[in-house]
Order: sequence, then structure tokens, then C-alpha cells
Amino acid sequence: MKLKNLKKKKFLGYLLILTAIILLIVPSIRFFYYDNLQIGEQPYYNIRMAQYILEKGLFQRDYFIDAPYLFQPIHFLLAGLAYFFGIGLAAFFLPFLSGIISAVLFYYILKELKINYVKRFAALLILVISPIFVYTFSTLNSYSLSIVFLLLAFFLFVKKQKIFFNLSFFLYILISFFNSLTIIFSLLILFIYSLNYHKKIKRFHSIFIVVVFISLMRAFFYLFKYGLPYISFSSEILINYLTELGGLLSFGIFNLILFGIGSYIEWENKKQILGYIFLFTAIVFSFYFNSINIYLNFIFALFAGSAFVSLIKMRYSVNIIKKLTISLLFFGLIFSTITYSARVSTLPPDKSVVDSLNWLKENTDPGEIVLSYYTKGNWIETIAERPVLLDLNLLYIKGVKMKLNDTKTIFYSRNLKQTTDLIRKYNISYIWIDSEMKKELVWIKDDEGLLFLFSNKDIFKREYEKDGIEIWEISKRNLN
Amino acid sequence: MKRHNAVLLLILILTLAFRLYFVFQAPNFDYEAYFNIRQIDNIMKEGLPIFNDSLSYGGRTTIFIPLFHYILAFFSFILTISISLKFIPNIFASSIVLIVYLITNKIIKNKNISLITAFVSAFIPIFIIETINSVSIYSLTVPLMFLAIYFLINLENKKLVKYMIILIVLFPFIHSSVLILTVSLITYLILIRLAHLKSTKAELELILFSIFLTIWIEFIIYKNALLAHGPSVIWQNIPAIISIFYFNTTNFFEAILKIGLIPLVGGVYVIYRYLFRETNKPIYLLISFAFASTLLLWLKLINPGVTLTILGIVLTILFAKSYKSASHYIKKTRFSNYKKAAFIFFIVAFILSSVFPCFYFTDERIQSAVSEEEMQAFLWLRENTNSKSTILGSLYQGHLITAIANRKNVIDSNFLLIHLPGNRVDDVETIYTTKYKTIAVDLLNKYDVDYIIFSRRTAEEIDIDQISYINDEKCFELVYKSLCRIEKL
Repeated sequence: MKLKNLKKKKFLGYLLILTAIILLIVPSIRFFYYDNLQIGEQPYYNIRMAQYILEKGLFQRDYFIDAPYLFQPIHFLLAGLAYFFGIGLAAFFLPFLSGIISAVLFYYILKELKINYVKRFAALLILVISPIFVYTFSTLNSYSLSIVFLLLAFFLFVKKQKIFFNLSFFLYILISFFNSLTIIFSLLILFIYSLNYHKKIKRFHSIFIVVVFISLMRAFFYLFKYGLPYISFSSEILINYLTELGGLLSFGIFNLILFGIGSYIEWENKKQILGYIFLFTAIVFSFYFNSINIYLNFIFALFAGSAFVSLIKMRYSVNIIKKLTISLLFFGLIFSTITYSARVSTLPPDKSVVDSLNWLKENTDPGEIVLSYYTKGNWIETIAERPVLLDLNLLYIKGVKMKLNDTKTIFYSRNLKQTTDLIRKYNISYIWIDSEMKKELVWIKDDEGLLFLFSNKDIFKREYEKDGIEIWEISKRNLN
Repeated sequence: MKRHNAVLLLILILTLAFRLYFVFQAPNFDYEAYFNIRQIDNIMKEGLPIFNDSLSYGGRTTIFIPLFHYILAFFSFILTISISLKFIPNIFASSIVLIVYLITNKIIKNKNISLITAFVSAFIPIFIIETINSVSIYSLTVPLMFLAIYFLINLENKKLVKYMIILIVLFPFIHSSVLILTVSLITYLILIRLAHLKSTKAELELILFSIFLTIWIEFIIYKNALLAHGPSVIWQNIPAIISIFYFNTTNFFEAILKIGLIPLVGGVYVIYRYLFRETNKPIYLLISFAFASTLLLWLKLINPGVTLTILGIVLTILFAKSYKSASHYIKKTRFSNYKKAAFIFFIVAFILSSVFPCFYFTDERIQSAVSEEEMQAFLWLRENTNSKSTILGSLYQGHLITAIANRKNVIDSNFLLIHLPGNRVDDVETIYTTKYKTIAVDLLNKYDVDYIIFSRRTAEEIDIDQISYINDEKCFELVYKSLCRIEKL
């Protein structure tokens, strides 16, 4: 028995080493080949907020955009770590450690749920080699921390002793301050679990009341103070769901296939209707709110693990097919993650983006507003330290709908007066364009909208052009 | 036993003879064939296909699976390229009669009816049109997909299991169209589940393995295209304007003619019977194949020609079942004395509804191949222009420019990995149709065009009589004139 336990612990250790290796792939590539630049846009927002906290303490409004600061625990934890290790190291350690802790917690939750140890290991293996896991815990995003809190709170809730429940209760109160997705997901999982363990239903009620109360208070506070939030939906459903089609928070094809088989097998075994309804609803919502996939990934891994074990244990009539199928599935899962990691590592920003933004920082005045596509806003704010019209966090930006419409008009209108009127309205001084914007993100043709109007040299002057990135200065004198 | 084999061999020879009679009447191939011809030619010369193509679209990367090209290149070494490309695809395509015979015999266990079905399958007009003169990959993939079906319904034979495994492994390396089979197998699993039938272990294992392997390999092969185009890679990145014509749905009457009336009626009746009254796993497998290809056509994932081909063959096999039932039924009625008359009636109906359309459509297809005048024009370009020149031709002529003239083109029908191909399609059409020289010259400069080719085919395709501004001698010089005109800029 002891030997078996030792073997299990050893195996868990190996899996954790594998987790660490996988989580190091993307940061290592970025460190050696991309000047240690963070991937994507959101990390830059988190870094900027953590730096503000370090420099100025608590603050209410974002300095670079007309929007309030929304409290996120990750900013404070990042600021704390940055205080000791510096922001670069902190930005690496926070998601990395969150990943390792999440893997351990996931394993122990499955153990508490009395899931057979082979399935446990299979689920953990599939989880740590899944593309979403790699992305969540290789980049500095707010979900990495919320996942740790969610898993830890649930793990403590599952435990029998009262002390653990008290700790879990405290953690769920903290979760009320995270994003709404984490709150909804954590409560739903708790609810479904409690329905199967009737003794826990009272405990669930108490957590539910407190969490919902705090979350609603928070929501009402924002609602009265800043109005209705702007919620954007994801439109590219298929891309967002499949890694192979270029999605970021997306599943590998074999993860999905194994999940499909796993959910079928589990349905045959237990027929948990409510659980399946919840899962189905979450999947439908995840088509439009891509971040749900981060949470779904853990559930998918559980089902996929079950399917993988069943496929291994299945008695095959043609033995060679067994070997071929299992190797194929395993290599398919690994391949998906390797190609994903390689692709994600090359995502922008790269040195050329940073160079152009540094140019902007050095050659423009601090208060001058820069216009770009809204997803590029966080880079401009953090690296160039210049205000923008819009950035990725559209939620409470003042007049966000109008700003989005006006930006669209500026980008696509060929009417000079209309464009200059809007530029004047928002006091825009510079326009920052990269090759991605010129290749379908904004424009399709070379002479479309604003690109056509750039030929007016009295108003637009190209001040920077390198590696497909252009910075255009607007002549305020001729504008008036 | 021997008599049946001899008749089957005779049917095979007849099928091949029919195809070869027509195919050798055309001096050239269909327009689409020239992509494959160029790849085969390159394999023969350099041992490798052209993945980094310096001529197509003025230079681009292509993604395709070259196994079919290697097979044809191998035969081209033995038979010479012009003979092997006419001969070998038609041998592959003719093999369908053997496979149809095997499947039918397994399902209905009647050699005579199986022979009749094999004969009927030789005259499915759509399959002949699609594969006769186009060096089409479907001449290989369609028979192989049906061979896989034969293996699947014969899994009790251990030897065939081994062949099936080999086929499954080979499939993804032949062509992406084998995904039709994958979808069919998934449909089959659902269908037998709905009919409360159980799949055998070996069957389930092989199907699952086939699904996993095909999906994985296709994802690996088309990885870059998938990342570049996202889901539109499934539609081969075909611009919307082209896809309207590409997926132009065939009308019902044309579909009947191209499939053949007798297989259609007999097949549809069997589908009805086995979906609502009886159960039979091999028949469900065939029905799944028909369903899957129709579904894929509805989703515009495969072109109507391939769907009708698969439907045609499936319905032909299913027709055998209705033929057998009809024979049994006639035996029990007063008409049993008129069995021979009924058979003659069937033959006449078959000739009228399948054989005649076959002759008509095949002849039409042969006539639509690249004409001799057009070929001469492209050969002239090869001999008389600078090797770095760019030639503007219509979409259909794209592969001729690269394969025959050996020059850069502006556009061809291989859209995969091309950024915004719709813009190019629009621009090419504008160049041919605009009345304004300045617009045309701007676009011609944009694509660095040195020569414009204008042929009867271009006129038909773009629906113009001539290029309006072309008589301006300051900008354009007529350098070649026959039924095709070549203008130099």
C-alpha cells in the first residue's frame, strides 16, 4: 500500500515537473528571442496598474484613458511581488506559480472527489498539456490568479472539517471581488457539487448568499457610478474554439474529441442531468465569451482523461489498432500543444512594436492623444506612456459606443472633413498603425478610408515608418 | 465462377475502352489538369513537387498532398507523361466496376445482379465527366473510398482487416477529400445507434482510428493554411464571387441525367425502405456515405461534381438491392412469364437514361478541354517572352500560364495561402472589362503585367467581346494573333 502511495506521489512529482517544463516554453522563447516581452495586450494593462499601485498607492481613475480603475486582486499581488523582485520577474513568476498550484489543486480535488487515480493522472496530464493551460499560465492575465482562488476555495469546501469550510468561506468572499465570470463559475460548480452531497447544501447556501450579496453590491456601485458596462461578444466562434484554426483560448482538436467521448461515457455511467445542462450552457456561452474556456478547460480535461483511460482499457479485437490509436491520441495532444506554444511565442508585440512606441515616447509630449485600433491601446499606454482614445478594457470607458463608432468613421471614411472633425473632437495628435491593421484587422485595400486620406500632406505627416509600422502626426494648425 | 470473372473482366475492359476512346480524341487536357501536370513534370525532372512556386501569383507557397502526383510520375517514366496522364487516371477510375461488384455481391449475394450493377456503374455520367480528361485526384480517391467500404463490411476476413489498416494509414496522404469518408463513418455510427444496431468491436476500432488519424494528419498538413485563413481554409479560401460558381448547385433534372435515372429510382427506394422499415448495416454504411456527401455539399465543403459522383455510385449499389427485390416480386406474379421482356425493358431504359447521357456529357467535356489554338498561344509565350515576364490571363488560364508558358501568372484557381484572393479576382475582371485605360494600366502596373492574353475562353468567362482600350498602340502592342490574341505592354 505504502509502495503504491509512493509511486503515486512520484508520478505526481513527474507530472509537476512536466507542468513546469511546459509552462517555461513560452516565457523562455520570449526571453531569448523577443527581449522578454509579454505576449498580447492584457499583460501590459496589468503591468501598468501594478506600477501605478507601487508608485501612487490606491487610485480611482485610469490616467491614460477616460475610464475608472476597476479593482483586480492580481494588480496588488503583482505590485507586491514587483516590490521585491522587479516587475519583469514578478510578471513571469505570478502566472508560473499559479499554474503549478492549479495543477496540484486540480489533482487533489479529483482525489477528494474519489476519482480513480489512473483517471486522475490522465486528466492532469491532459490538462497540463492543453493549449489553454499553456496560455493561461504563461502570460500575465487576471484569470491565472482567479483560477487558483477558485480551485483552492472549492478544494477546501470539499473537505469535511469545519476549519476548512471556514477557510473556504473566506476565500469565496475574496472571489466576490474577482471578475463576474469567476464568481458565476465558482458558484455554479459549488451548486452542482452540493446537489450531489446533500450535507453540503447548507454550507453552499451561506456561501451563496454572501458572495451574491457582495457581488451585487459591487455591481450596483459600478452601475450607479459609471453606468451600464459595455459588453462585447466574440464573433469568430469556430476560430475561438479550435487551436488549429488559430484560436488563443481554444481547445486542441483531440481535447475536444476526447471530451466528446468522455462526456458520452460519463453520461452512460451516471446521467447527471443538471451537470450536463450546466456544461452545455457554459459551452454555448463560451462561444461568445471566450474566457469561459479557461474554466471549461478543467472540466474538459476531466472528461478527456476519463475517455483516454477508457480507450486504453478497452479490449481491442485488433491489437495493432490499440497501439496505433493510443499513440495517435497522445502524440496528437502533444503536437497540438507544441505547435500552439510555438505560435503563441511569436505573437506581438515584438521589438519593432516596442521601438515604434519608444519613438513615440521620446518624440511626443506626454499629454498627446494617440489613435490606433482599440486592441493596441494597452501597448501605447504602457510602453509609450501616452493616452489613447480606446483600449482593450472597453467596459466602463466614458462614451465607449460613440468612441467606437467615431473611430470606425475615422478609419473608413474618405471624407476629409468628416475625419478631421472627429480628429479635432477627440484632440488626436498621432495615429499609430501596424501591419496587422493594414492586413484585414482594419483595412483590406491599400487606398481604403484613412489610408487614402493620408495622401493629404497638409494634415497628415508620416513621422515614423519601419517594419510595417507607421506613425502619422496630425498638423493641428492645418486642421483648424 | 470463371464465367462471372470473365464477364467482370469484359465489363472492366469495356469501361476502360469507352473512356480511352474519348480521352484520346482530345489533344489536350481540361484547364484544371495543368496544375497536376506541372507538379508531375517537376517530380519527373527534379524528384520533388513545387511547394515554393515562383510562378503562381507571381510567387507563393502551395500546400497539397503529392502522393497522387508521385504515382503518376512513376507511370510517366514508363509510359511517357502524355500517355500515362490519359491512361492511368482512367484505369483507376475504371476499377470502380470491380469494387462495385465486390460490394454488391457481399450485400445481395447474387453474382448475376452484381455483374449487372457493375455494368451500370461503368456508365455513371458524372463520374466519367469528373475523371476522364482532368488528371483528377478523384479518379483515385473515389474508388479507394469505396474499397474501404468493402473492407469495412468484410471485417470477419482477417486478411482484409490488414488491408483496411494499410488503407486507413494511406488515406490522409492521398487527398483531403478522404474527409468525406471520415464524416460518413461518423454518420454511420450515429445511424446504427439510432437503428438500435451494434457495431462490431473491430469495426468500431477501425472507424475510430480512421477518424483520429485522418483528422490529425490533415490538420498537420494544412496547419499553415489553417492558421492563415482560419475556418475559410475548409472552403479552400475561395473568394465569395468564385464560390457562387464553384458550388453552383446543379438543378434536379441535370442531377438525374448525371447520376442516371435507373440507379436513382432504385437507390432512393432502397434508402427509404432501410431507413423506415428494415435494418442492414452494410446498407446503412452506404446510406451514410450518401448522407455525408450531401451534407458536405449543403455546407459547400465539396463541389457538386464530387457529391453527385458519390451519390451516383452509392445509388447504383443500392439499386442492386431493389433489382433483386423486383426480380423476386416479378417471379411471384403473373408477369413471371415476361421476365425476359422486363429485362429488355430495363436495358432499353438504362441505355436511354444512362448510356446516352454518358456519351453526350463525355463528348461535351472533351470539347471543353484546352483548344489547340490556345495551346499554341501559350507555347508561343514560352518561346518568345522573357522568362521573368508576368502574363495576365483569366482564372481558368492561370495553370496554363505556369505549366505551358512557364511564366508568372496573376491569378489561378489555387487560392490557398493567398491573402485576400477576392481582391485579385476583382482586379483581373476590372482589367478585362473596364473602359478606362488609366484604371487598367494602374492595375496592370500593380501586378507587374507584361503580356495580356485574350482568348475565346476568356471572352466567354468574363462575358466580353473584346478589351475596350486595347487598340491604344502607345500602350499595347499586338504580338500574337490567331483565335487567341496576345498583347504586349
